[in-house]
Amino acid sequence: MLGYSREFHDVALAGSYVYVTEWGDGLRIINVADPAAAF
Amino acid sequence: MNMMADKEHCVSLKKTSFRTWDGRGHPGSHNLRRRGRHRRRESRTASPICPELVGRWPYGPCETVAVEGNIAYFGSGTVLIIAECLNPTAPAKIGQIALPDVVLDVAVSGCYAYVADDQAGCGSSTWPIRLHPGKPDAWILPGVP
Repeated sequence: MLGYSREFHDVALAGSYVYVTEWGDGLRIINVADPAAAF
Repeated sequence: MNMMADKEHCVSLKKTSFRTWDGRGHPGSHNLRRRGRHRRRESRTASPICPELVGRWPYGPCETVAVEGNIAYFGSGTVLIIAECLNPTAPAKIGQIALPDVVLDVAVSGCYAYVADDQAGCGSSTWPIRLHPGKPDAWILPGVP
């Protein structure tokens, strides 16, 4: 789980990477090669 | 630095969520506190539960993102940023297009990017942008000087 008190506005998936927009904090690129580990 | 902060945050989330996992007994009881310390130690040594942050573009406001192949299209205020993400740890900007207002949404189809901007709170406009990947300067936004 990616838990923050921040606002996520959009998400896009490409391969094993997730691109998440965080409004004032810009864009984050997250490796989710092991999706089971994300929960 | 942010990656470190994220990992620390995840660890603190694990600590917090431990209390909700175990709803038995009174949280102040001696046995429960002992069990709590033990389980907390286990959670620190288990395989990571956090997805790994590998790269970022730290400039907002960033409302939307679309990815086509290794190219990411995302809004950064009133500018559409086009970045190559062959190496996701270091996205490289290869082009940008200024729009009249904050970029609200972007979609990519074939050689066009369709970008919606805010129009100062009075609805939104969608701009079709023809993409010429190799020639960032050749990207044209019709109707915008």
